[in-house]
Amino acid sequence: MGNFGTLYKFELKKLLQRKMVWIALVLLAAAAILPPASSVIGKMYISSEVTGLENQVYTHYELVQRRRADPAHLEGRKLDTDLIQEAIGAVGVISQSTTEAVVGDDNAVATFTVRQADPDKMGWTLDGYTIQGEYWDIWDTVESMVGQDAMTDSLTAEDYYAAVDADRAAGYNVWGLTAGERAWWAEQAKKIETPLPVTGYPNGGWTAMAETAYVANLFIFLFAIIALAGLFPMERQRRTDALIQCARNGGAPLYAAKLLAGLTVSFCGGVIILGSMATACLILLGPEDAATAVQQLMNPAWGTPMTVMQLALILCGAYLAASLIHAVFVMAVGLCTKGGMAAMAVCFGVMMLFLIVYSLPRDWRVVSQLWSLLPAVFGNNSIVFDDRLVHLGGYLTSWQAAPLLWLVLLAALAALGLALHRRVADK
Amino acid sequence: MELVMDRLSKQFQNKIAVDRVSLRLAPGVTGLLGANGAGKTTLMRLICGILKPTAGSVAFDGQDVGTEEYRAALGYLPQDFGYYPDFSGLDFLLYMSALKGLDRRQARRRSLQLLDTVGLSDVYRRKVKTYSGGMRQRLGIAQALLNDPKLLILDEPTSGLDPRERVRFRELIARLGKDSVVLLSTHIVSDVEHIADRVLIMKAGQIVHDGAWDRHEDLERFYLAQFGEEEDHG
Repeated sequence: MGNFGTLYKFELKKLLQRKMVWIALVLLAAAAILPPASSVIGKMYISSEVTGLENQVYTHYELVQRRRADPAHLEGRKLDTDLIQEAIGAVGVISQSTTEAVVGDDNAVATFTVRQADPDKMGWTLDGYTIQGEYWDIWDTVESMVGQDAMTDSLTAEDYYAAVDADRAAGYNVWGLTAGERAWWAEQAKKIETPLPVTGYPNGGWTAMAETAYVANLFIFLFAIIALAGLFPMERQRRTDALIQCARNGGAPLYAAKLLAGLTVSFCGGVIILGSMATACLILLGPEDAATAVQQLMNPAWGTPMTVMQLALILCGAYLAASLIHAVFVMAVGLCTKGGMAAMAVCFGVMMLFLIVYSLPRDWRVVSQLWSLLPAVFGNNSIVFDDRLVHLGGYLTSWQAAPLLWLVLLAALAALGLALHRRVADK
Repeated sequence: MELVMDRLSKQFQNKIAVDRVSLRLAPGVTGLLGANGAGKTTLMRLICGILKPTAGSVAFDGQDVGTEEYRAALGYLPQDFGYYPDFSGLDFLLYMSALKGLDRRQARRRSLQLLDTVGLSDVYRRKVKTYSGGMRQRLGIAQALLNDPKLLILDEPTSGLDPRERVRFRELIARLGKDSVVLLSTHIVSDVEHIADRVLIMKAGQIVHDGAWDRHEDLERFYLAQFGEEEDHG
């Protein structure tokens, strides 16, 4: 293996000399910016006919920056009865208000109407007109648990947390959790501070990152397909396979060098794609929501005490690890099909399959749980909150168990690839 | 030092490409002649371990074709020589050196030396895709010699070379044949005529002539007579 470094260097060079790899990387890194960018693209306007003021036009970027700069009235507060009632009251002001302004939005399907509200209660406003109240997220979170009919002045924090517990228990039934798993989650839930501390600017860059990281995962898979499907078949296409097969290091050493080069390219591609997505999220939408609890915004009934920043970082780390599995899978398919285009077609088909069938019936506990942990499915919005645990000595959550499964997958696919490489050499 | 083939056969579905070939090749240049489809390239690929024989065996100095020791002694120039278009000539040889197990310093020294031998020393930094057909063929010959092979298999090594280069390479191959077992396949009878100590003629997967060549005889006429015979029978 004394030549491994040289072989690795040249295999890397072969990959990076292909224009298609660079074009795919640039396009996918640019595409990864689109989900966060879509939040700031477009304009919002308020017609003068209704307000009597001049036409007011604001870009979404401007609105986001205004919201970021606005004093965070809710910072340091807790989701208690007072806050719930303030939110109900504030949203109530909207519906009781009589003055209406027609607000058009480039990103909306149709023009919609927002009623004027009390600027003092609604927090940030736009020249007297409320576009989005800072209580809105709180109102929405509470309403998602208790239902709109319960959003009255008699609703208390106890009612809300009881509804959260009930929702959590219902979820456990849906997931088909065992008694042991329920007990474990009950212990976890105790670690979630009640009443829940809230942040003033919850819907920022970290939240966007947690919500869109899955898209980046698909882009990384797509990049691995484009870059690596032809890595092994290229030798056959260029008729260099004969030279390789009769060379001393043409077997396992070359396979290892190619494998490592493929893993390197896929991982670095993952860093660039995820990096561009994360950078866009944090620059355009801001990092102020780092400490926001997942329970405040994304899923009130989730049993794990975690901030959106922690969730985003876990997902990004998981997808970087997944980039290695994507790479080794694509290379194994390339060895199997012996053709770059054929491998690309098969891998793209597999990617589409995972996009469409992102979950299996939960009655098939083992199969559907394993499916949900596969790299191309993991984190597909509802799956990231998979409450089913993996019992390995102790209980592991889905994001703790997935890397272990991926390690096994990586080893199995690498071994399969080596067997296929040797089979080609022994034809 | 001896290459031994024992009842070596290769069958592709209904076609027998190599039919029970048994040979012993000692150091020297052995020319392999035959019409298209006679089985020359298949025989060479079997000797190089690229194809698995349907039956029979190949060994060099007692080492089976599948062993690392066998590969370490082998140099091969395929008929359809593949290359990496964006590698420079030197990069290509360094890569092939790594594949053949040469250490870094040895690989660089040997690569530069061979680039000089094949007349590519002034273009070694240029990408291979800019080379002419003849230059690529010379690069192919250089890669086959990187590990100083004791067993050299050359499939049409002089195709694409101009007459002056062909003469130069015939001399080089003749020199190599003094210390190595060289098996040379070609359509150009005069190449074999000039340098081969022994001539094999293949027809329908079998060796139909195996013998030392008297350089005063006309090989081309003899070769054509071998195939004319078939036409007469047919």
